[in-house]
Amino acid sequence: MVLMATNDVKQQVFEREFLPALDILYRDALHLTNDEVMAEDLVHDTLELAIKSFDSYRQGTNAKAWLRTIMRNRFINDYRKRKRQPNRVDYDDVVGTIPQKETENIPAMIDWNDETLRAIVGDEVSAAMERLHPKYYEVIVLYDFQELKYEEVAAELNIPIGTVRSRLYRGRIALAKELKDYAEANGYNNNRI
Amino acid sequence: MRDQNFQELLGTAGYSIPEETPANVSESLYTSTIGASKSYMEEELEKQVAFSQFLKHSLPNRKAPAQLIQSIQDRIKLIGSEE
Repeated sequence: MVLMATNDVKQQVFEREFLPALDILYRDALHLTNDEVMAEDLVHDTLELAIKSFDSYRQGTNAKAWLRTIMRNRFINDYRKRKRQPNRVDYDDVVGTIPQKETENIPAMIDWNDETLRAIVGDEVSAAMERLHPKYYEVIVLYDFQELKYEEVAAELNIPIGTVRSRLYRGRIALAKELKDYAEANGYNNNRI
Repeated sequence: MRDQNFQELLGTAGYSIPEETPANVSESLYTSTIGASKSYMEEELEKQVAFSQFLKHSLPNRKAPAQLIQSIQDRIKLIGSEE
């Protein structure tokens, strides 16, 4: 009887609090994975973990934030296993807290509101993201897409805040350069670039 | 003799300190250097805001597929029945 009641409660909470958050979770998962199948798997795993960790959830609180945190942790753990060695602060990151003078701030040099440019590169963003180095990719996803603060990104990735800023700065430059090159290769010409 | 890696680090960052400076001074100099650089970094990051907004609106923004929701609901029922 108790087990059935527990399941009933889970079902009710799922319907009432988790279900309305699924669209946001799926959108986040698409941003994180850049892949529809992987996004579905990630959402599925997240909800399964949430149900298994149900006792730590306080009903009526912010289900969306709770689920997003579970999903981020799941993604970061899995992603790092797939893509790289365990995180560490390396020499490059420490030096990176000071932008190199020769590095052009390309994202700041382009009019990203230009409709022509947006039409050309819009579909290329996902592919360009996929080609980013993982250490830049995860910071851009967490800061730009998940809208975490610097401190939160640092805590999620277990890196210093200065490294978050550095990776965000460099990652955006790398991404913008890819998009700029793609736009130019497809005939876009703007004096601002 | 000052630590070679530390000297190289400062050199890369565009700073140098006299060889005779005590080690503890060099550390505080480095800390203040990084601290001072943060405001510059933040300024540069602020210039990238339009790009950040562009990225946000460029990636897919779709609703969760119905079969995904159904699959999750089925799985939750199964987890409940396993308990």
